Amino acid sequence: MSARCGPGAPSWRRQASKCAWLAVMLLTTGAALAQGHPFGQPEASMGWQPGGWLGSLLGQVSIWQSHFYRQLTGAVRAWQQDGHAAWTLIGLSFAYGVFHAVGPGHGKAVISAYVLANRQTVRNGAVLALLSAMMQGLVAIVLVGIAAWVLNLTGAAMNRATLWLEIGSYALVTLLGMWLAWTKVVRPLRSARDTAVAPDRHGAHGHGAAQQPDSPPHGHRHGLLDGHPHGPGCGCGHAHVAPPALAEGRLDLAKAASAVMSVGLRPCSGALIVLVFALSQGFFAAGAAAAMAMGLGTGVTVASLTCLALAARHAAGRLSGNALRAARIHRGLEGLAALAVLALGILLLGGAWTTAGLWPLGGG
Amino acid sequence: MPRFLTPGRIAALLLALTMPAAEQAAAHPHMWIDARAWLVFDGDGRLAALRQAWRFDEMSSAYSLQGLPRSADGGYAPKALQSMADDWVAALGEPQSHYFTWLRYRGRSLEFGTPAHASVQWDKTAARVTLVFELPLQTPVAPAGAEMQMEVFDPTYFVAYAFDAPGAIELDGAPRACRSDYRPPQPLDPATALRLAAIPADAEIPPGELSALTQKLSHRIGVRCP
Repeated sequence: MSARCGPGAPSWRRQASKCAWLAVMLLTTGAALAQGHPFGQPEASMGWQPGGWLGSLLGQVSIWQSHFYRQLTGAVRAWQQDGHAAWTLIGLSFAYGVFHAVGPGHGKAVISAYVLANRQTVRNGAVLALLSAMMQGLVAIVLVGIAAWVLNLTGAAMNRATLWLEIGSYALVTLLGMWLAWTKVVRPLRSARDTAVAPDRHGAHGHGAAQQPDSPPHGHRHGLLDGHPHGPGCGCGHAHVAPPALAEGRLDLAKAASAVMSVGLRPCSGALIVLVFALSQGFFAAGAAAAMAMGLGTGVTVASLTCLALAARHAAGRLSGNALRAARIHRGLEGLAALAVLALGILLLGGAWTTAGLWPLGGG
Repeated sequence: MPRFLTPGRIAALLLALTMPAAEQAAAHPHMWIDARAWLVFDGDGRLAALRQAWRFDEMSSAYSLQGLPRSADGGYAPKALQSMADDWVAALGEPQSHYFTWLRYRGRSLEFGTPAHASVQWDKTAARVTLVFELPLQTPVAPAGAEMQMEVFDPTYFVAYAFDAPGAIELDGAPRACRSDYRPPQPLDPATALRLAAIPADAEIPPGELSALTQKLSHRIGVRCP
């Protein structure tokens, strides 16, 4: 298996370390305290502050995003006139979603960290990313469908609903982080204290055999169903598979649901606004299509980023040279990722909570 | 527990995560406003008020009108629009927003009194709402000898302004010799776009000490009477 994993040339190592840095940047996403905006539109309360070339790339992305966003109104109208123009709206929304995902947002940080902490496969990571982004689109449709279409509530009321969804979402991130920290940091620490030889005990997940430190040279074996490593949307372009996480590499939806919900519960502002606009034009279906296309665009991008994070984790383990150290590094990264999810959850929750008291049109 | 995961390193990670929390990121604009400004003079040739009309883009308009009671002719009840105007102006008056408007003269900032004549108009054909409001100066000042500068921008860059319409800036009742001059913001380069996102929204921006960064973003209207 290892022969297919990459030539091991120095250039490959450089690539791998770049990948690792990217993953670290993904994980050091910071939360920000949002003040409600005077015009009281829904606005996510966190963002991402990298510098250097990555900073200017993201700045450019933000300009492109605005560019696509501004064409959405025209595209909704065009579709209203001519059914064939539906693809214009769907394409624009998809592009908006792609650029939206590259910009600020907590989704990719949570998913990447969850996948890292939980030894998910590349495929599972991609599926999780897609599911959570599609969930975001669906939540936006349901929220606007019920609040605006059925109940005819005001924008201010929807902002409040969004804020509560946001708080729920961040509370879930915090819970997820607590659970991960418990299983990845606290319990291993305790079992290491209890037993001199610390076998890889992961309790709830039962990763067991796949991570025996003595299996050369990666410290893991590939499960049968993991023969094809790349999931949909996985664009890392390098041929390695992350260690199979769950037995048979199957996604345990019950466990992953918390990660999906924690990301998907907070609808993106762009989707909400385009849905309300479509509704005002008497063409809710166009808004729904746009929201789902945005979700798909976001999902594909986050899936690629998640894949990068996994590749980086693998590279970090591989660079260490020997299997025992690789296993340790893997476990260390898991612990760090678990703590990152917890810290992110607490920060986001704190920020959203403060916002709740300061929402400018809260009384309206 | 891996050896390299020492308590010190865990603390460092947590710190790294907390640091950016101090920063606000508002990202890209979600609202586009076509703005007009009138610099209103009193009988003594002093600038007495700034009147502005902000025309929202269609999507923002639709969002803000959502759920408002409609009148029989398909319009909106004047009362509902008035209460929207009052809410907006009240929210804009919060110190961190400062009506997104600043006025400077001879290196010091001129303060505004209570805003007046706030209203919201709904243009059914264009499907856009316009917020009109007037900011009286606490003390009217004649822009004599030096240029008085009005600046309009949203420090969080949630709103992107444009003063593109012909006659978007007018002097109202000014002495004949007064001249106004408009300088648009510099085109937003990617690096600036990102750095803007880091400006704390709760910071009160000292009008006299606008950073080089936000100067790039602001629409500047100069007025001068010899």
